[in-house]
Amino acid sequence: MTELGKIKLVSSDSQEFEVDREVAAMSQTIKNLLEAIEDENTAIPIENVKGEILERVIHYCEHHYNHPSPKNLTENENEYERRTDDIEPWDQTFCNVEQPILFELILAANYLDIKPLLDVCCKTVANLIKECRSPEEIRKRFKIKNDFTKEEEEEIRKENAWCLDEK
Amino acid sequence: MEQNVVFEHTKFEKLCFTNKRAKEHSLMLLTKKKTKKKSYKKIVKINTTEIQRRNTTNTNPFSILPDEMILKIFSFLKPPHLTVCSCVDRRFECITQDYSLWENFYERNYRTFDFKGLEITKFLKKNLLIKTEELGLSMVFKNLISEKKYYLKKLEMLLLKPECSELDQREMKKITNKGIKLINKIHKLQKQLLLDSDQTTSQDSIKVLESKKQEKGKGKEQEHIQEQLHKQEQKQKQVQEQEQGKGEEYQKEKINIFTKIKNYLDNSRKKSQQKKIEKLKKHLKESPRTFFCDQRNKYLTKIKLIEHLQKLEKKEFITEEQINLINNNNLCYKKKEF
Repeated sequence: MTELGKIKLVSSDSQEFEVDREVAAMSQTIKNLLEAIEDENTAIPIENVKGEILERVIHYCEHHYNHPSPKNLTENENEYERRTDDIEPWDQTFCNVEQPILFELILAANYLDIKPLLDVCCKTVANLIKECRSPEEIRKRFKIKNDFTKEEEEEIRKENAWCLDEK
Repeated sequence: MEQNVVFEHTKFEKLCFTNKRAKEHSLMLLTKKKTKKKSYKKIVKINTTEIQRRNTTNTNPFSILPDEMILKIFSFLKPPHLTVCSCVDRRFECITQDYSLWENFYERNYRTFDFKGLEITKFLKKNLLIKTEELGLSMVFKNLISEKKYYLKKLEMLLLKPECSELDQREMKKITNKGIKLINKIHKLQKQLLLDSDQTTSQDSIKVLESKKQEKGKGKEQEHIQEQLHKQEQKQKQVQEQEQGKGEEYQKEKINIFTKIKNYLDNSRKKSQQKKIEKLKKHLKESPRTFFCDQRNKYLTKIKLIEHLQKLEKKEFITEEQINLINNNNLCYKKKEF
């Protein structure tokens, strides 16, 4: 039996987490599920997310539930004036993790539909890309294989010469 | 193979929860086949296989993300970074072609692009050093101008002689005739170039007409030539005097011609601009990134051309004010973008 106002989440590697109902409801997916499920005591399986990742996500939700951000920028923000330098310090340290974890956080945030977390994670990845000044640097940083043929690469480099040459 | 196919389906289904764009897309594909509840069950199943796949490919962290998520990340980047990304690998190249990445940016800068392009072509055409393609013509024009200078110098020499023999007078006549022919040629060229570009303003045409008058004045009145050679300021004053002298009828004619030219130019300009914009929009929808880069490259080549010309000491053609204007535009452009 879970405490009142708490629900149980089960990760893909069958770790169990007890979370405040309202904290968990920050995830749109869980919120929808809770509305659909009649029996409140059933554990909710989140088979797409590992325990390690789910723990981090819950940590994030709890912090932001207790410290709501003063401005609702995400809604009012002009879509095309997207900035990547407005990440809060707590979020910055939260996202300062190894690459695989960061990317799995993005997947989890997308799956659980937690928009602020998704935004923050995407912004940090965008910042990582911004720090790279050439395609080679990006390939090195993210260990991406170059699957262009030589001719294709030349063509694309020609097309984008204005940007690559300047730097 | 089967896994891949199923995975593609679920990619759309999974995104039903968040991404509006994907939602529309997936609805298009899936409305006939499945309901939402069913799709949820499937997601859970297939995503477990996805996790297994993840563990096998640890190297590239992007490989675990669906395209839509990468698109989301890219949406925080600006054109310079996007173009760098497009050179990384095929997947990135495909994703950076997405219209949504460029749409907003393009709309914001569409006008500046168009404006800058127009301004520069105008500027170049004014100075009869047209685009890269038309540089050949402008070379001809330069030759004509230098020839004109040569004749004028000869004339000057002759006029400066204290005594004028008959031979000298004949030579003077020959030279002035040749000079007038040359000037006419130059004007024809000017006209051609200006009419080729439907974007030239009526102001340009007015200037051309005015310059015509100036130079016709030269041909008709030999007495003034000597002074005209020495100082450009005097030229302008003389032209003004001439115009005043010719009276109202002349001015009426002038106004008529101007209005005709204006109407013609305005009409043709509007039509061609509409066509141009339609064309641009088509291109944009087909491949937004390449289109953007093309525009950008054209712009840069024009700037380079101008810089090159500036180096070649073309003070006759480009005044300092115009150079400043272009430099300012250039700066504004860079600031806006990055």
